[in-house]
Amino acid sequence: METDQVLRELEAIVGPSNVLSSPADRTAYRYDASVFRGTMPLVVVFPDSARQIAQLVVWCHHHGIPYMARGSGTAISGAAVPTHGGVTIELSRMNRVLEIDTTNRIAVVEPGVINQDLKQILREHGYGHTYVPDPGSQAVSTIGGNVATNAGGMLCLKYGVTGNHILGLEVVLPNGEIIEVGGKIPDQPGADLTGLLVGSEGTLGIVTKIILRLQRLPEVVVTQLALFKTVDNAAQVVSAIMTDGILPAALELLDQAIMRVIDQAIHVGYPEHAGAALLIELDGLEDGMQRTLDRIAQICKANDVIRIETAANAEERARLWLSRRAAFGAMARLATHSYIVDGCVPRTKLPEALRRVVAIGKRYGLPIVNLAHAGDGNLHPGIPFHMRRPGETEKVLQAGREILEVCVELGGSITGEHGVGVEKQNDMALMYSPADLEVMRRIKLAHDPADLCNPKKIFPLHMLTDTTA
Amino acid sequence: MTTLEALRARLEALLGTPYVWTEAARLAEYAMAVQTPRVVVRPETIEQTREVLALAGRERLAVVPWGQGTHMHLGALPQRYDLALSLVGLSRIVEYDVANLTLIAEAGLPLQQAYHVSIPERQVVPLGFPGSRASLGGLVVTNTSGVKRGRYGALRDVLLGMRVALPDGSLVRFGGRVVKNVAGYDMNKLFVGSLGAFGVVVETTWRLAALPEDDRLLAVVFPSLHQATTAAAAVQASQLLPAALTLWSAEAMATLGLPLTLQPEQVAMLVNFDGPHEAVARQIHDSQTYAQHHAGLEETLVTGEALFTLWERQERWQEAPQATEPARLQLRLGALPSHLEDVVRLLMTPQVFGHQGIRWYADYPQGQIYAHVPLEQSGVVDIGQAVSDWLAPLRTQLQRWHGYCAVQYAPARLRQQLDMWGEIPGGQLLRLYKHHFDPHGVLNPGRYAIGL
Repeated sequence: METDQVLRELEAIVGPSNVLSSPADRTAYRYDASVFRGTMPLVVVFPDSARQIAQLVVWCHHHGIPYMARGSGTAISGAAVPTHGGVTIELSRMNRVLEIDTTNRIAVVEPGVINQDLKQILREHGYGHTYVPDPGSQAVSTIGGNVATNAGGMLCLKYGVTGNHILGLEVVLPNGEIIEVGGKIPDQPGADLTGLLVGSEGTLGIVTKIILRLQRLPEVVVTQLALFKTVDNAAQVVSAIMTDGILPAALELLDQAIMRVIDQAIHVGYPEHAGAALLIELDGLEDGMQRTLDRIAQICKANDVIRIETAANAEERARLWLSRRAAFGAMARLATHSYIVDGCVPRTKLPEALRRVVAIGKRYGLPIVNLAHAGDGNLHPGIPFHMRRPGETEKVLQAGREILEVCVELGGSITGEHGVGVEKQNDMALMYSPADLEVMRRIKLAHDPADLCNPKKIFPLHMLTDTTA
Repeated sequence: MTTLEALRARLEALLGTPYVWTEAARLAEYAMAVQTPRVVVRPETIEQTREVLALAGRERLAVVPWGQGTHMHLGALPQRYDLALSLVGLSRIVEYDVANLTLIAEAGLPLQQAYHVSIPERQVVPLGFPGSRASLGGLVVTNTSGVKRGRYGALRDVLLGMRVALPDGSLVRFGGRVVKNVAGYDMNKLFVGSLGAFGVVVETTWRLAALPEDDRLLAVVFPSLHQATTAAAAVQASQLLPAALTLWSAEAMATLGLPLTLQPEQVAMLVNFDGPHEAVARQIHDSQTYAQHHAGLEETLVTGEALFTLWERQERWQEAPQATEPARLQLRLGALPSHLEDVVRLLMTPQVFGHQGIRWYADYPQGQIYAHVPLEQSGVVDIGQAVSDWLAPLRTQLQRWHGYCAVQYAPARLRQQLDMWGEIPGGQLLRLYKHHFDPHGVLNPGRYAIGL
């Protein structure tokens, strides 16, 4: 089909001002926040309803053209870049908050709503409730994108990942049908289709409406920063807290390398001999909180803590959090790019995993820094590097893969919260047998036999060469 | 179709003679209402289970998997029934990782056995209650969450991974053993509430919780449904963090055996808190205050053994009635907290097929109502038709309120007649998955939603 005709037909669906086709515009959509560059989309469209999306999907299907949905493009796994050109369906116009119902603790939103915007609406209007999932990208990432990748965050330890907060979805299936799964009430009869679709990275359909769970704001929140001589000390504290029956909202670990990077950027004032920091956040009722804090202090003391700082007010809390949240921004001072690995191991294996990460860094001559959602065993080694230096990207990716091999060997996962994207397609074979993957792929084949809906993702490339597309 | 002798011989070759039964008495134990299987098998290993399923797939034998048999009344009746596949032989604890609070166990293991292992470590599998006979795999496929779901999450939140045997002979692993894992599709979820329609769960991995320091339940009687509901709403809207918050009709309360006497129109609120002593004490106190504000009458506190007994009696609600009990329907209704009162009133509207005396309890925050509806056959010509005629408009109205109604138990003849499931969101997807996972319909054929 002629390009002009393509444009005319798509403009007829979404309106003339909602189609981008210039090479400059389209080039921007080859990228997301990852180090991976996708193929050039044929065109980028901005629908504003499920009906329009259904029409787009039917149009694509009719012409055998691949398509993918996209939110804010903050994926760092290449989940938001097209693998086969086609139509990129940008969901930023579908950004309405449709319903907030604190009596039943639910909200209904469109996929283009920015995570933090919803939180801000809830806060500013005094609803007394919040939407908990807090991926690092929350200031810019869309809830639709969070659903697609089953995004995590700092508060997963106590509250779970995005999927734990999603009750129902409206989805445009690859055959153009608009369906609803789940609903406002949990445990709908039948299978947990909502749970299956969350985290499918836009390969099974396009989510057009999301029913999510709201949570009451906690009565008190206590944030602490504890400094330790070694990573092992800090990791030991994490395990001891958890087996003691304490469930903090967050337990974030920083190693010495990232502490130095952060200190240079925002001058936190970490002591020279601190080898690790632990950011601890507890929330809940006031009653019993002091005893829990005393117990944590005891555990920290037993593990050679250098000092524990407890935030006295909201400002101090924000300051302590900044010393963690500033990490990736601070890394930008070191090199043009940062590669963030997202492995997960059983919590007690964290010290070993981090030791081996450091060893891998040394072997490759890469200055790896380490952050971890330590309570979950979710480690985020960060590798600052210069993408334009020949061979450096390949080296970094190779080191990243070795780290994931370590995670799997220790009983963990190749991705705790960032998703597979194009980055870890082949690494899926580290975790799953060919039979596991073949059975998993039946879901894809059931939804999208023509493999047009965000094609050639999730599964190892060698499995995808024989598709009908 | 294979002759019984040939089938028996092949199964014996796979499992050994002592694990294959064709005697009438044994077959009767595995009856699904009027249907009995041709053979009962009990594999002792996951590998044997895989082989049995592969055989069933090849020979197109209809398989009904059995765990501990506590929830076999769920779903429609299977259309065909060749093989009863008992999974009680799969009862090993594969790995209990105390430090990481994870447990891997075979699917036939009764929940109470998991508790036996974890309680000494002051940890619990946050499902059911400690005395539950239900198997871990059974809990998954029936989507049965724990009584303390408000605090510890639903079943879907604590299930980390599984192994599944499929009728094409494959044995696959999904999920993992870490609490955060987004590698590929979250296949676990397909099997949650699936009643074995897509595969047989043979092994499960769970996230455990630490045993709380204190655990207490407050029961308060209210003059009316409205006052009880308002009190529950006040607790829910407060800062309190109940592990469970339920409402009970007077008739339902009688089954719990608490030292409270309710008049017919009265409703009780039960609210459970656990955690540090101070937090529990304060929350009980605050709940008492909310109750007083909403005309709360008599109250009682339940702890220790008595609380354990209460959970046990609550869980009995989900089991099928004993043969000696009068005939009834057991329903599960979805009702938003804001519509709970309306739904209960609708439920209590008199019908032609039974006398009054519907008893119910509701999980307020989760929007679930469990109702026992007595069936009195006298005077009604076609009880099945009468129930269907009652159910259809009930379901329509519930849908308007974003709710639903599943029939969880019905006497055999009604079970054949009624739509046990009602409308299923995304039913067309289930049909597609069934085609890809069980193309010849050998797994529980017809028992699952939309006739799958």
